[in-house]
Amino acid sequence: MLRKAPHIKLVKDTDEPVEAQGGGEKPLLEDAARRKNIRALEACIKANHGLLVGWITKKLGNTDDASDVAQDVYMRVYRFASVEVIENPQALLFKTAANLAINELKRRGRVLRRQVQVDDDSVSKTVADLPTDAPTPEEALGHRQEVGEMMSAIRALPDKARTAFVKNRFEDKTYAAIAGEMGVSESTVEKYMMDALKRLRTRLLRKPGAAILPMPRKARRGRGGKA
Amino acid sequence: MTMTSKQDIEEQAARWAVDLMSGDNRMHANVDLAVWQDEDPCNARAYDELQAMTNDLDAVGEEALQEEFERELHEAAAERKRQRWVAGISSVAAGFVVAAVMSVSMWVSAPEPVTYQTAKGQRSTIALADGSVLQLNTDTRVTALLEDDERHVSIEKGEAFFSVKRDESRPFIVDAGETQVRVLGTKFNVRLGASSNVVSVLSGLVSVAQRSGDEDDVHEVARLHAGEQAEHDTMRQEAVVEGFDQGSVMAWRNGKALYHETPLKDVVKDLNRYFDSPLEIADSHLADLPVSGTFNLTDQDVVVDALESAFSIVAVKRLDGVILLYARQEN
Repeated sequence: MLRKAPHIKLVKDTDEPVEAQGGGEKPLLEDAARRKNIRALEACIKANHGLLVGWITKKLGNTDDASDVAQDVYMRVYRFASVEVIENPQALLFKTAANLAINELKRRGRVLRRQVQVDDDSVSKTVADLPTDAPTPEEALGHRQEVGEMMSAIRALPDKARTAFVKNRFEDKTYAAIAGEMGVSESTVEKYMMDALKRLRTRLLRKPGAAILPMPRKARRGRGGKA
Repeated sequence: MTMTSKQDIEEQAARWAVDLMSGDNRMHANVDLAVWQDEDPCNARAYDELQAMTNDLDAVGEEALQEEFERELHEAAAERKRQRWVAGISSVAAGFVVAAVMSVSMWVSAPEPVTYQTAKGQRSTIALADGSVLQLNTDTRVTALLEDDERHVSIEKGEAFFSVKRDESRPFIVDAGETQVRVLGTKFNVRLGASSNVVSVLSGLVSVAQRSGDEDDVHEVARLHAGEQAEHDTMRQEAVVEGFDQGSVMAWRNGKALYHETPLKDVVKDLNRYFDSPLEIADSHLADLPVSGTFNLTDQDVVVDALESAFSIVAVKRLDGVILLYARQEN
């Protein structure tokens, strides 16, 4: 992994050279370190090329564009060679591949279709800050959740439940498709989804100390089930 | 208000949510949902809160998908490693020079392991697809598997000399019993023994490790430079490092055995690896007789003649084929 990851943005659709942001000028890497980076990347790419092309093919659904996307991935990782010592080339390679695959799938309208379009440079910290034109009845309840809390909650899900949930909600896959990928029945996928929803609900809406605003008084029902 | 408990309502709400997220347009579902929601405001609220939660979660959708995709890639790389020993090892007749074939790696790559074997008294040279060369000594069996990220050879019995082509993207790993040797590119000899294995390095840097039980429990016991040799006692889990006489250790590669003040019992043990008729010491005080010299390993008769003439030994062949060694009686 790059030592100073927060300053380097991976998501860049333009052809600007990747630079560290904020503060003064950052010197580029000396020649020897840069060459070492490049050798490490070359070896890593050689070792993982087959796996990457196979995975990208699966994600895009066809083989034609897979090599092109792979080439884009490699071009992008090589840009890091002059910037920071690359301590884990494989992690960098996989991170970049995942990122570019998502960009391409978003471009084709295949994933994250419900997402509000957010400007790269202004990732909001809370949902409440997002401009949204979808008037849902739920909004009136005034839910507000911290982005960090939500990511933690998803990461905390058991593997299968998390996979099913993320694939369904963000990769926009049907239960049938997920069942095929995970090698289980659709009803099993539904079980995973139930598990995910219940755990997320417990953690995000019920746990004491969670960074969630309580529901407005009139909507709240006590544990005793008062009418 | 119905008497349904809060838990039941929450359970039902979750069922409805799961039903509606299937993505396959369950047409009746929306209508049925509305009916259930109308039955009780508690129902509606339980469902609404779940829907609000999942909507809020959309805000981290891209980040969550990014992590999921990375996980898939790391898992695929790990799976490729686990698929090292695919069932069905193909055996190759001894004496042929065969190159291991690397298959094109796809979503999950599964190159085939290949086994090479020599008979007693036979030697064999094998070129691997990565440019490394193995030389097998008598009565030896090895299995080789070359993958994207690792090159792996297992010595099941015998002795082999390795001339490993340097490849920084793929370490070369040799397993001989519980000894594991890791190199990038180097020349070394590995001999599998009854209670200890010997690794002798001609050039380069070699890591020798103890491998216990399953593959993941590996720890280094010696690091050898050119000219160094480790005798790895796998029981005691320790290795003794010393220099070695290159001539003696590697002589087999030229079809010779070299001994220097080696006790006869050890010479006999070594020679028996090469020949079908075993030698046996009949006079016990011959056991420690120091033997020095070079033996040509092509023909057992020649070896026995040399022992007889140089070391005052008489060899007698028994009916069952065993060759007994007696001290010559000087009359």
